[in-house]
Amino acid sequence: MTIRGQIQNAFPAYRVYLYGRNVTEDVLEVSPRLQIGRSPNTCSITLANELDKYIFTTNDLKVVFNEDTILRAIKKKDEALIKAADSAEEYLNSSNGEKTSIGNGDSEYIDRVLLDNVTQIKDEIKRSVISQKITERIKGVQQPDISDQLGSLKPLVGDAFRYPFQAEDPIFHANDPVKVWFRDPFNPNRWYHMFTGFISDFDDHVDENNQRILTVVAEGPTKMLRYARITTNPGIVDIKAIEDAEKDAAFRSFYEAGFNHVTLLEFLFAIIFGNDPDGRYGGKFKIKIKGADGKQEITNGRFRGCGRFNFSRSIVIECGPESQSNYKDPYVVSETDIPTASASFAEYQSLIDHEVKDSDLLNMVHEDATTGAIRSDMQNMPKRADGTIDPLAIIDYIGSHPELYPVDGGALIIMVPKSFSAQTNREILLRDIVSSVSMTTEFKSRLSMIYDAMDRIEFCFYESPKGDLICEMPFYDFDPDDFGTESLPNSKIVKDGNLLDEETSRGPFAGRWIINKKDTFNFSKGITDEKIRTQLACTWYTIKSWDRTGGTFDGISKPSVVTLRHMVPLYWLRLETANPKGYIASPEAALAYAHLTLNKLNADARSLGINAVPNLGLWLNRPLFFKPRNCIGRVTGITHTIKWGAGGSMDTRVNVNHIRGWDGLFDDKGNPVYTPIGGAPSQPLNYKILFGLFPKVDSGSASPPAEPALEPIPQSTQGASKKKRKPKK
Amino acid sequence: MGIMSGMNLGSALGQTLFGSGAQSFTDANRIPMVFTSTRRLRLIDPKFQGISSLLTGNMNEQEATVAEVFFGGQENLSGEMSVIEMMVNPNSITWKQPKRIVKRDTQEGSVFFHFSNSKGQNNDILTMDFRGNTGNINIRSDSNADGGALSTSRGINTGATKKMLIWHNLWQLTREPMLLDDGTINDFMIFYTSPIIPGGIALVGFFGAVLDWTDSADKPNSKDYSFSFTVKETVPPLDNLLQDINTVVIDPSNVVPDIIIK
Repeated sequence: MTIRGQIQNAFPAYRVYLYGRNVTEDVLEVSPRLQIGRSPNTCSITLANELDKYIFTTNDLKVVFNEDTILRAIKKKDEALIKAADSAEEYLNSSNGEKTSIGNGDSEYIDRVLLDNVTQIKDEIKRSVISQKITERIKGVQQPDISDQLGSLKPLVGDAFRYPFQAEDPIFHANDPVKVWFRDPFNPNRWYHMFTGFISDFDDHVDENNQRILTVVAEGPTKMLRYARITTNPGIVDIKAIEDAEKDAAFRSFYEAGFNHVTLLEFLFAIIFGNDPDGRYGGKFKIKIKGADGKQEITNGRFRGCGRFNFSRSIVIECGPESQSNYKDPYVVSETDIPTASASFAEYQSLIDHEVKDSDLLNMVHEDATTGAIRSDMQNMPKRADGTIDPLAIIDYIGSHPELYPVDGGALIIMVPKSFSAQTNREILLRDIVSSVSMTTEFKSRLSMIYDAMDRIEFCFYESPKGDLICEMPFYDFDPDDFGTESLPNSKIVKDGNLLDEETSRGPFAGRWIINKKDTFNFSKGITDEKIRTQLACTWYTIKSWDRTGGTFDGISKPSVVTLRHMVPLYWLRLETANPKGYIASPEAALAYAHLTLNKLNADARSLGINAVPNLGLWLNRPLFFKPRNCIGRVTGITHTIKWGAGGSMDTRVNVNHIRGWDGLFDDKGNPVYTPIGGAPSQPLNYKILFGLFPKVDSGSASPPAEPALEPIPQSTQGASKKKRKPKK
Repeated sequence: MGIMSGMNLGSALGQTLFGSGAQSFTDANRIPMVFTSTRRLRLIDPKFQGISSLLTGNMNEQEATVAEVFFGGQENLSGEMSVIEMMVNPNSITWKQPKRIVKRDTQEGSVFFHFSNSKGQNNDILTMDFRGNTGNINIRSDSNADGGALSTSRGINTGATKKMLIWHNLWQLTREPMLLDDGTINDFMIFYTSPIIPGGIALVGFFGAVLDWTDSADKPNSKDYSFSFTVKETVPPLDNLLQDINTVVIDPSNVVPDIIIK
């Protein structure tokens, strides 16, 4: 007999837009993959390519570039030109040396003919895409003149096609915009942004039965950062070239791989938005760097940002208590005013939430666009019974207006603990000394530079499904309830006096991050002994007069060591050494780094992969309570898949690390307290303690709290285990 | 003439199948089932583009011409008919439209995935199984004088020659290409009537397989056959059928009282 709740009805649905066109009708399977790590989100889209509707066929090419129609048009334009050229092909490719060139006026004339020809293509989407792309030209392209070296070769000049169509290629191109939405199958009124990105790869598959399938793979907006390279430490030989290019030596030095003297926040803002300190070039982000003596202000350094990311909505969210450290960084030489706001976890989550809401139409729009017309259009959109706009209308508006909602139009949102002071992160993160001074300047991928910085402190840098760039502290010590069990009226986060999100209801979030047994298809949980470490040594350096010598140092090095003594009898002494890429200048910093690294290593000892019913509310780097194995872990990867049709299905695959189990400990409200492998003593650096959110422990628990678990990060190199502190009562 | 331009398919069929004098199906004695395809309609007009416009009434001038002669049952020199009007209708037709539901078991229950369309319906594709018998195809039973036409008044000819030709046309229809030379989809169309759908319905789609038939010594003068048909569109839409039938019931002049499938 069926038990109440045993049967769930699910109603999957999705919307997929490629290059601003709704291709949902032809999508057989769509699978966005969200991940933290060193690569962007990806999305695989499988399209039914009936009658090659997504291929620019040879026949299409003959129709569009019909020589007779082009020649007739040119003849009307200028008979002399056509006489000079023997064929349309020659005319189109002619050089300005011998015969004629295609000036802007000519290309526009030809474009009109091409547009007329495109109307003969039958399929609506194909016709629409080609007609928009076929006339987009890069004006005034001129090849370099190498005739001196190679004789008769003449440089070609003219207006080149931005989308150079070639027969039998897809009508879409790399870096065309992709947006995907999923409907919550258990709550059909709720839709989620699921993926934003650029097309990367295609697979045009035709089988022996002439079944045609086009698979499109897209990558998230940080794809741009992977190809946008920048240099931070000029080489000896070509430093002059760098200076000539107005690269700022104040930012860069021979001996540091990262940006010089800036904080993590400044680094991220600068690498994405560029730097225009004196505002002469209309740049939006400004850092002023002082000279090595801390007084002289250098303002002429500037470099470009990457993409069209939204600076006006970018913000740093600070959570938790202020730092109690009195440590002062002697190297503060940067000056900027990065927008900052304080918020709870729930308010922060509501700011980046990916549920489709009315306010998305205004929040996600490109910052240079005017919103008057959008507000007017919103008035005319179909409404639901509660007065909100039908999510499908919102989706269609955003999906079909890539010019208003560009893939790279998201904001940079950084979430850090308040105690993560500029001084601290400046020192720990970015003193990235190179092993040897380079002779020639190296240009590095912006994205790899970001990932390198994140790796050092186990922060995450990822894309939200809406396309925002998110940089966060790790949330592996927290529980779902820490992110709010109630809906929020709005995010309450203010920038420049305005609410960043005027949406009236977001969340609640905690309930989304639980997977029950009835939601689980299957799972696999493993423990790998080889990944467990019990001791870690981290080297640090003492450097005299760093700020005055400009790089020459006279230092010693010795390790700070962390030992998880209580785990030694079981796992033996397993020493690991950490050689941080950056420069660590104090034993305290080295010890903190050792704790972080040990946490990171042991986090992967237990792994959990879950295949569950669709759960679209899951979020990366968030705690997930997995009831079938009574544990909490941090989400590192989410793959939602919808395979449409009678043989189809929909599921969510989740990968989890930093798994915490229950060892019998209760808090004072009777809730179980979850601890990492080795129990509470194995993780002295606990963010939840840092945030004051660690629960008060019930003195009558089956298992008493382990005292070192509540130990603050020690301020000496003597190690954590020697200091004792009573747990909170 | 405006054939099919309205949604009252029954009236249109009545006029076209039984002549312009017929005001409705009530003027007809028998409702033959009709089969055709885009390709066959091009026998009438080589520029004919497709049957969707024919059904919806959004016809250009040429297509309107096709529509006017459409039901004439013209045939070319090779005996290929532009439309195949059955002399003996199939004797069994099964409509099948399963639901798009996928069941997946979880560790403590089951999830039923309902793959629904924009209307929220989780209906799968409609497929139809046709079974029939050729009727008497013993051409020796026909007199040469009247070309094998059925003449029930005289009670002499059985129409065997015509029946055989029509059946061969049907067999060939199921073997036609799906794509025509110019890349146009060769849509197939069936005009269908039944007491349960008195107004009639046009089914557009494709055959699931080439017609199956059995040559059995038990039936030397007739052959059993069957085929399946996958429906991609109907006129009127199935969702409007109830409304259309309700209209027919209110106006009994549109009803054929003695309709039989065979």
